[in-house]
Amino acid sequence: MTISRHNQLDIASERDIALAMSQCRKLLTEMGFSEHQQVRYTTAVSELTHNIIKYADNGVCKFHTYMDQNRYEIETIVEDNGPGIADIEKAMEAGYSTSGTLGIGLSGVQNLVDKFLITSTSKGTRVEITMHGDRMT
Amino acid sequence: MKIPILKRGNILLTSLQEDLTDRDIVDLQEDLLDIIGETGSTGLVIDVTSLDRIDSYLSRILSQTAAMVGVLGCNVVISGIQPAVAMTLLEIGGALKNVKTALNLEHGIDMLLAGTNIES
Repeated sequence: MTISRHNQLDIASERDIALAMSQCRKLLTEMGFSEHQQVRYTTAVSELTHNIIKYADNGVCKFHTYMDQNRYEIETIVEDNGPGIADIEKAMEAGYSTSGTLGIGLSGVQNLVDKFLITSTSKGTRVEITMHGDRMT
Repeated sequence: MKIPILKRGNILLTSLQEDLTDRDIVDLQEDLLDIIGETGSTGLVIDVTSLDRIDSYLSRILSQTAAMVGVLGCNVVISGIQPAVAMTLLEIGGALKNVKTALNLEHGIDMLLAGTNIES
């Protein structure tokens, strides 16, 4: 039996990010992720949601969680309708940033999660990150 | 939300809590510069024990604050980074650069009291 849950939040301010982060943390704890996994994943979500308010004004953050007898998984989709990323390959290089802050954003996020997918057009950017764990039996 | 700054001798102490906004941090930076200017404090410990994540934004802000305060001749130590947070910081390649760190508040204060030993 698979249990899955969905949750969507609008992101337009730091307050929204704070709310998303506390929800994310709660989901991870409930699902049984280790402390280190929780820190990794929440850091990744924090980077991506901050990118929304930095580059796009507003967007959404969706959490999907799946659990079955052997495995649990959390997937987060962070989407905005900002100007998009002109050169994704370049944006994924370690140390690259167009905004003059730390250039660790996207490549850093990729290092923290099990699966990382990014698509970007002139109408917006969508990043999907996944982390999973195995249940002890 | 105003972040309190405590003074003990020549050392200032402040502690960061979860979910600070950029505004809070800018206010803290200004408050620190004012207080250091007024009191001539020579050391500052920023304790982050209660932070359960430090992303690239916060890491940058912390480095920037340390540099800013350092210009006034005040030594800065960041204390209490949780083990999982430290590992994550390294993984994203955002390790605090040019900032001295200590295991906990007590070690942080000791480092500052040892004074001349903490060259950067």
